[in-house]
Amino acid sequence: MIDFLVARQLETTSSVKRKILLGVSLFFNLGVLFVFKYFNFFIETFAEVFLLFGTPISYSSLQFILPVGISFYTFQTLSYTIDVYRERIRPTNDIISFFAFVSFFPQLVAGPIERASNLLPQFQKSRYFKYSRSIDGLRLILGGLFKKMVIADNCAIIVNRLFEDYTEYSGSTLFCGAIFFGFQIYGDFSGYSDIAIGSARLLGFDLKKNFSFPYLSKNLIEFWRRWHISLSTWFRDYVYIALGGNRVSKPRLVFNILVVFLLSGLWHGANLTFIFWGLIHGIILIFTVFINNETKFEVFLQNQNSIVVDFLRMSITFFIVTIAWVFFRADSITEAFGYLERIFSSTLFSIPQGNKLFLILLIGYLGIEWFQKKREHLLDIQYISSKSIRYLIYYVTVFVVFYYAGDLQTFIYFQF
Amino acid sequence: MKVFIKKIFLFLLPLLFIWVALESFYRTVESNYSYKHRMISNSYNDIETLVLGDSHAFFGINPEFMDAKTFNVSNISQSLYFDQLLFDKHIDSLPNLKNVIITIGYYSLSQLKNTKEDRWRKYFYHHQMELDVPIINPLDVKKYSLALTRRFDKSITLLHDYMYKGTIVGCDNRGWGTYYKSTNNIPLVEGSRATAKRHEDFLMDFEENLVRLQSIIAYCKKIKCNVYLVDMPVYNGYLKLLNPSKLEKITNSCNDLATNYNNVTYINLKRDFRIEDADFYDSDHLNHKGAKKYTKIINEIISDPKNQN
Repeated sequence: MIDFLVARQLETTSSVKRKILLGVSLFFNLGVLFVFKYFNFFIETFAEVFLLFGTPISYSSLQFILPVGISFYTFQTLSYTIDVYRERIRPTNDIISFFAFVSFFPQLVAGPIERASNLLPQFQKSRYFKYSRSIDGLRLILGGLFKKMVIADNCAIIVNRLFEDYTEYSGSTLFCGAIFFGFQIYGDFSGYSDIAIGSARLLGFDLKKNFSFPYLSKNLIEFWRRWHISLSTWFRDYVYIALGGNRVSKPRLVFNILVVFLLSGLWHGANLTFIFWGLIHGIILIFTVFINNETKFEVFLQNQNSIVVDFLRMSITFFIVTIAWVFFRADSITEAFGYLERIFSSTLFSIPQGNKLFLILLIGYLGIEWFQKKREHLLDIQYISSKSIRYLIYYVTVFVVFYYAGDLQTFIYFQF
Repeated sequence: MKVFIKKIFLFLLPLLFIWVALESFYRTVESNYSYKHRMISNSYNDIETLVLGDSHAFFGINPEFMDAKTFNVSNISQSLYFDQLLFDKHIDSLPNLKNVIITIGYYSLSQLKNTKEDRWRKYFYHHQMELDVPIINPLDVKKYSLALTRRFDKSITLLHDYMYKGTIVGCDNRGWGTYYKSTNNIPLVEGSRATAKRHEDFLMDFEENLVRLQSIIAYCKKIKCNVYLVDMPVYNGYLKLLNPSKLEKITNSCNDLATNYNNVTYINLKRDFRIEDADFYDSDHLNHKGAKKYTKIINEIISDPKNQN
């Protein structure tokens, strides 16, 4: 309601008051997010710091239940007021459409984080049934169910066991565990996004793409163009560019990238593990940016035009992302470092325990993604002219979803 | 739109067919649940001893070696919640009942209702044992379709077992579980760690389950029936991995019940010298040989006039 009113006022107000109005919107949105999500984390961290210096302080933490999806819809509504402030869009006078935009059920709890410029006008115009769009929506839902129920839920069983008892396993097994988590979070989150986009498509709405085969990225910059696209573009547009973007001095560029990735980590949760995860991505991304800019190394690599070079680059990116995932998954920083310490021990080169076939199948799945990389999504198979083959693919997918579904697990991103 | 709906319907038709086939499979083919229900209903007038409990009782107490006519109505992952529902359902139809044996495991007293273990089982109790299960929501679609309750791969496995063996019933006509043979199937030492971990629920609140037990005991007292709370034997390596304070609390709670109710006897045979490692199927279940040996021990205790209240 505040954002709706602020946006309407922004249209008719002078420049000084506009800043105040934007401040009001930021204060309320980020304030609510802070109270619900970060208050306890900061107060506990402060208390620990004071304790380190021998001054224990008493504090009381807030006992709130975190509203589901708060980070998603806060960012969505924030983008609306900022866009109105920047005069990129005009504020709406239709309160029903505005509330529908903020609380649109397919993407309410875990995104994609939509922009008002894309979603809001869709509520205000008539929608008509379109056969091809509805069929594609169903394909997206089926692909999403496959990613969630087959890939993510089966990986979760292995990952939970390995992270719970990581001291019991060899380095190679734990490394496989980190890879499994990479697939779990990808299947879980991109699966949800596909289901959300597909459901919206059935209702006649087009939501933005949130994932674009991220594990086929050849460097970390590309990874962030393909992973959680709606969040990374949000940070790009509203934080990175606001800080000056890349048209700044080198130290400032380093600062800008680090701020964006620290905030990105913090957005995921009030825990040092997420901050470390963001920091790792930020630091490696800085290196990638400088290597590309300074040595023209990227241009050289692109000119190689070889599958082997591409495969090597994808493997290195995948390795970096996998190691960073350990911080994302671990319950504490100590656990994350303990897990990594065991990975990089002498047992790293032993034969891993557990289901190796599943790991091979997951790598095989990336092969399917490679095959589909120029398509919109995994089951975008309209180009296959034979109807029977298309139906066979649908039925095989349905069978695999039913037969190989893992134990039901909550969507990871629901907690954010 | 019409083409879309027609195509969706045609696409779903084979899936609907599979659902109907599975539903008729579950409705017509006898399972442990429906078989036990039929058997207990057929022998109401004969039953003198009734065994309630989870898999430890299901595989560990063989009515064949009991002197009194015994029926084992326990089942895999059967909690005290379902023990009570079964007891309430059948008790008034058992005119000759003299003893009720209830097994108490490490998690029995702390177990919550509607856990992951009950996720599909509760519907089978409802459909195939004719229990009115309050934890099932009337609007839950699974209440009306058994094919939707189990995972598809499990249903296919059961279907395969039925085609191959001709039955999916895994117990004899007195309710004793017959899957576990006379060898250790799972290594005891390695299995102990995983089992102990699986059984650790970190719960110490026994209140709800003690109320259930007290309800059963009080009714038994009213009808002059003895209750035996039985702690089943477990492999020593497994026992060592359990929380000692919880074990102590379980023992104390059972002892309190035995003190407060004169129709209750607590039999703690977690570690009994007569049960050897070779008597276990895994760290917490007896095999055929162990079940025979253990049932005879229980039978001796129950038959002892000292324990007849």
